[in-house]
Amino acid sequence: MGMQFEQLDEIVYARLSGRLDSNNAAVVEQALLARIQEGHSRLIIDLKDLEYISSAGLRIFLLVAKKLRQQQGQLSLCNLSRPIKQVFEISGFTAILKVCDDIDSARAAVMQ
Amino acid sequence: MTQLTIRLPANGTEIARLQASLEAFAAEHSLSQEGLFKLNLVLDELVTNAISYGFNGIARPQIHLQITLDQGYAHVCLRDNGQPFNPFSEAPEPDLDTPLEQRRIGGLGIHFVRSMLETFHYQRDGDWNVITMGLPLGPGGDPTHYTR
Repeated sequence: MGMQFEQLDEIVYARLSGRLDSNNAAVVEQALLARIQEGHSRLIIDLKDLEYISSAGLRIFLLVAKKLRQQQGQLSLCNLSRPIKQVFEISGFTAILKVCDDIDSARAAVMQ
Repeated sequence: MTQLTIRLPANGTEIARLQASLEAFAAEHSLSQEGLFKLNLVLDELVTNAISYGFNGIARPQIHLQITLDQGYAHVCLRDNGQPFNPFSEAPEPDLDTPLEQRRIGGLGIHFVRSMLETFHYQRDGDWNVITMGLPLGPGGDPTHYTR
């Protein structure tokens, strides 16, 4: 599991890679929530290099979206591989989260 | 022989060993990335569930797994000697149509499993929970296949 953060203008980019599952979900959750607690309110999670996600990983995105919503923030996720997109669809997450094809549309989504 | 048998002492650190075994098995039988993903997901959710909730008061927790590949399907038999638990009838359904603010966090694991599988069956056999499953490994898959 890899996690990389970058801040550009007023957007925080989180790039996740490898496997996101019950072994490392807690670490990723803490790191993302820490950024929100610091006051960042526009977050893009880039899943281009994410190979695998389980329900333990998916629940983090719901949690982060809820926290951001409470402080009028915006979350978008982008670059989902086909099986990961399928998992989002099965969960109903594509209807409640902003899921974008690429980084440009993710940027537009969080700047709304 | 397109068959994999794994016996795990039931604790969290063994999930990593399960993943490694599945990856080697997938490579050996030229499974697609997507097939491996599905197999990983179904077994990860069920085994994690069993380890997290099923073994209170069990002296020698064990999980046995057998996978047979046949014509685009993985036929899986997963046995554990934990508390009697039928994940397909006792796990709560997630509230998929609820808006973000009210959406409960969690409850998705078994829903994934059910959605991916074409067939599944649970039975209690003595001290063992026995789940038999048929998982189509082909590309695509229909997220609406499982209807609530």
